[in-house]
Amino acid sequence: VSKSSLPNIPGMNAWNRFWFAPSDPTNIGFIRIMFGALILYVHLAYIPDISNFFGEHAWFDLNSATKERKEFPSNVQPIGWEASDGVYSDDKIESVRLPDALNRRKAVIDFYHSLPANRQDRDKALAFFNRIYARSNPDDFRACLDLMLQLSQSLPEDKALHRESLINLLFPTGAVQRQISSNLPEFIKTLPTEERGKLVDEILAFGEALPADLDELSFVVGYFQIAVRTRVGQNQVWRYMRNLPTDEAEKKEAIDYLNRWDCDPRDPDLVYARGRPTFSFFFHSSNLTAMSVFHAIGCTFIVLFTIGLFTRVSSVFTWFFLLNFLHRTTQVLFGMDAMMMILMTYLVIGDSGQSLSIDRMRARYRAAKALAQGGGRSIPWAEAVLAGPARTWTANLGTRLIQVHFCYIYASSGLSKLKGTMWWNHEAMWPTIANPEFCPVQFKAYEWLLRQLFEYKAVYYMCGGGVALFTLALEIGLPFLIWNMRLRPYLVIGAILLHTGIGIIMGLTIFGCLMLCLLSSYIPAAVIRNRVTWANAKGERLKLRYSSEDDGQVRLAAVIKTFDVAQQVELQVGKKEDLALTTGDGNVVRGEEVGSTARQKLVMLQGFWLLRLIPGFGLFLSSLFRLPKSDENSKASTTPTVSAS
Amino acid sequence: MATDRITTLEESPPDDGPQARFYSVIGAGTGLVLLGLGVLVDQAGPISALDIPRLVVGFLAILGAGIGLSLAPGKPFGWAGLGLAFLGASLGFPAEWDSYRMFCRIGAMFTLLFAVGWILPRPVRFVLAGAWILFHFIGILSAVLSPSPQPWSMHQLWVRVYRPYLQFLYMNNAYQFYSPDPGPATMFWCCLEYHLPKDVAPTADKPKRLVQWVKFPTRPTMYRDPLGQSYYRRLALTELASSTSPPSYDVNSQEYQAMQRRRDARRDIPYHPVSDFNTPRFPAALAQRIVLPSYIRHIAWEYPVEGYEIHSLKLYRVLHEIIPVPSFVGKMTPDSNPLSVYEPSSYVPTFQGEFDINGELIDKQEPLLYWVTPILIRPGMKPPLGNPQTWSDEEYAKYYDDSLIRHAGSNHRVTGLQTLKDEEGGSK
Repeated sequence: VSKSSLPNIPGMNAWNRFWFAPSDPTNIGFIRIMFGALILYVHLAYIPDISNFFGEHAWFDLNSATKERKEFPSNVQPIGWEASDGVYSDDKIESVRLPDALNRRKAVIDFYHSLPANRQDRDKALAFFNRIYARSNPDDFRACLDLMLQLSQSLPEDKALHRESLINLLFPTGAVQRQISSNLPEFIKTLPTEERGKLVDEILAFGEALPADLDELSFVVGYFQIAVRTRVGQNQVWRYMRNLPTDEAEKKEAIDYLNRWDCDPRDPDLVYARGRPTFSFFFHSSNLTAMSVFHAIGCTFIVLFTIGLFTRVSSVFTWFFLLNFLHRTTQVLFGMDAMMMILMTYLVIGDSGQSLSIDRMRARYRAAKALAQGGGRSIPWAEAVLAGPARTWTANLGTRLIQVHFCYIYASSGLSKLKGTMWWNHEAMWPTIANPEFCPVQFKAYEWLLRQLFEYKAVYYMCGGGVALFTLALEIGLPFLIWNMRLRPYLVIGAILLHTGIGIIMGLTIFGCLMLCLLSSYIPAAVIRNRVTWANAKGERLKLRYSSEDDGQVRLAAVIKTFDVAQQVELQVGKKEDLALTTGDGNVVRGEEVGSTARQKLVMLQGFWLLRLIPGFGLFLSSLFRLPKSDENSKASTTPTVSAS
Repeated sequence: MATDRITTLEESPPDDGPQARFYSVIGAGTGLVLLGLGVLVDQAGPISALDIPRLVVGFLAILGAGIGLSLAPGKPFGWAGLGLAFLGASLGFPAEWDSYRMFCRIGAMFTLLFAVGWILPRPVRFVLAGAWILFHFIGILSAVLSPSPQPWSMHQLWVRVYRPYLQFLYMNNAYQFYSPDPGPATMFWCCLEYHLPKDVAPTADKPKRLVQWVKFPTRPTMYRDPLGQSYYRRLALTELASSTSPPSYDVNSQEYQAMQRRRDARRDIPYHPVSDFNTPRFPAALAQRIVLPSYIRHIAWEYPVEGYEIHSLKLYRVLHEIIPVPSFVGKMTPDSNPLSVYEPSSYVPTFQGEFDINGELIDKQEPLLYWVTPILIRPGMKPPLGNPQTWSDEEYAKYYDDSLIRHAGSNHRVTGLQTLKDEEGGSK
């Protein structure tokens, strides 16, 4: 897609230009290298903790993680004013929630477990509850539950006598009203005589289902009284008990679910979905060797991604590998991991291996070889490849996604701070710079500096005010002002200062570095190309004379041209014995010295001084620039190697 | 021959198409064979010996088709090949690897949609890509606005549309860092009590009961890599489990009164001078029932002592309050000493319960359960500036009234194993 070939869609042209106009991929390639190095470190740091974080007995153990993955409820409010059962929707939330106090909770759970699985038996046991829960006067419900408590203490031990005793207690025939009967709700007092026997049977059946232990009974009754303090709650609890599965195992599972997650998964008004869409190798294998092998494979992909080898494949596998770690144990994650996934996802979309990568070098080599074989002919596609990475729409899309997401992060972080008081009264600085778990207060000098600096109250408040205002202004202002190209440099510098401070003072080094990676998306690709990498016309001018008839010389010329990212080398075609490199000062190098001299003169390789510390890297480079042995080349190598032209 | 090659190269770069088609066909074919094999094996019953080969073949199929796609990303056949490879793997992977099956199903859906997308006219493709960008960033907005107070519309969007999408991508963070206010960090201190097995008689070398305190995270021992990833990850462990939920006593005065009565009965444990700390603080539901028991099981697994059985683990959630500036610079009163950030009274331990090694709470009505066991400066004492961790027990006891030591029955300042006398053992 070239800029001019963007489709003309009325109303969407500006949108399309913003997201899809081709751009220089240098920027996103640069981010890939920095980001890759950081995530490699993050994952190497896991090595001593593989079992502690991802094993069967991890901090968040496999059993708990699996339960969370498969069961975690997504609670939701009903869309309408009324839920499916006709009650006001906002009242439904958490109405079957169990008590927090664990002794009370256990009593309620035990009661639910004790309910008969058989539907008829359960209906019989809950007939009294059914009779009272739907009373229009909630006081009736409470009074009836109180009655159950009183009866548990009033009835004789001999169950055979219960029915008779209960009738006497509830409906005394004498002139003296007993305490229990005087507190009865009106609807019981006025019950027709023929209904009384049925009521007594229901009460006895419900009493049988309730715990025998007095404390537990009071906990269960207390739970009902709280949970059903509204009509909605009454409905919910009744429905929950009535609709428990009739299969004993399923019933147990449903009650255990309520105990774990405090909600009824069978209520579509409350639980929209169960489980989380997460995946991980560690959900299925907790063997240390297998985990280590998986980790090693993942780190290999990170290395490939960082250096940009097979990037389209290695970036997707790196993304997959990262998610395997993140999905297994969210308990050990923090803001850094969120930033990591943002960058990783957008670097995959942005096809970040298009520049500053081995893939790019491979493409250059292919083009350089075609050009060298061409013997001086013009080969447009090869010349285009060697001129620099092509502008692509994927690079622009990846960069834009990072930029816009960064604005979200800043806006959310800045605006949410306005909810607190400490950012308004300028006290927020202190807890961030003196938090012993984050800050470098273990260093005496840092503690001494803080003590000296804030000896004076005015200094403390001036510093606090400065930090709070700077943070708020930057985080809230950047998402809006960063699009103004004149202001952008100042905002980027401000953000660099902020994240450097976070990295040093608050100890969140990798988080700070990842934020800087995100921030790099605002730096124009040309700035990175000219300041950080190798701009055109840098370095010494070189002329390489070679023969396009000799495969070895073609290969050497192609290698030299591959690394010639600053366009230093001019190719000239000659005879086989003419192989020579003319340097900027006029010296001519011949034979085997051509490769090694070019290696020293190419500005890109001069920038590889750090990589030379990697064992074997120097040898690898030498082998690349070595002229393959052939008769002519051997002859050439015997001639004087350097001469003044 | 050479001339032919040069002529071809002049026209266009080498075509990766045949290679791409080869890899795509191989990947898709392998995936479909795996699919058939997987269905057959699953119908015959699980054969665990085939699990690893099925996994390896599935990944090779995806890798092969992925290479094909990477060589020609603008061609529908590449996407279709990868889609078929994912489809094959989604049923070809062993059934126990259900999370990978889900991943492959999502991968298949995504790539096959892309295959269709590449066939559509270009303007339509641009409109669809733009629609995805819009969808994506509305989703990010729903995640950003998910913390309370959450708009109703965002709640609905989040739960019904975006939750699976953003959780899958792990882009569900709200980015509300250090807000609304920056606060103190939380630690966990755990007291493990070890007993000799019943059939082993104690000796001078092997006392009947031992105690060990495990505190996490602690910088000196857990900052294992240069940039402290191991330490910060452990700090995250405590943050997630440290949230508390409002106790239900506001609707259950009986329970609150019972808890208050039990708490009042422990007269040896003073109340904290800050009234906010003098109500029971229940861990949030997820922490109480899932996370903390798991942590307990892990600690029991990580800190065994040879020849001993773990009898119980007492867990304290310790809020490390940040010393106020006036106290830090010694200006709280005209004659006060500056306090260290590691000042012992700035640690506020809340008892989370005594657990068995399975993470089950032993006594659900322990008097101090979810109450603070404060560490206080003794009245009239002015601790000198310094690191109290390095002080002797006598010096420490001179300045501090440490009710945590009384409650736990052992000294949390001691690192390593301590012998517990028969009469010791803390709260009963």
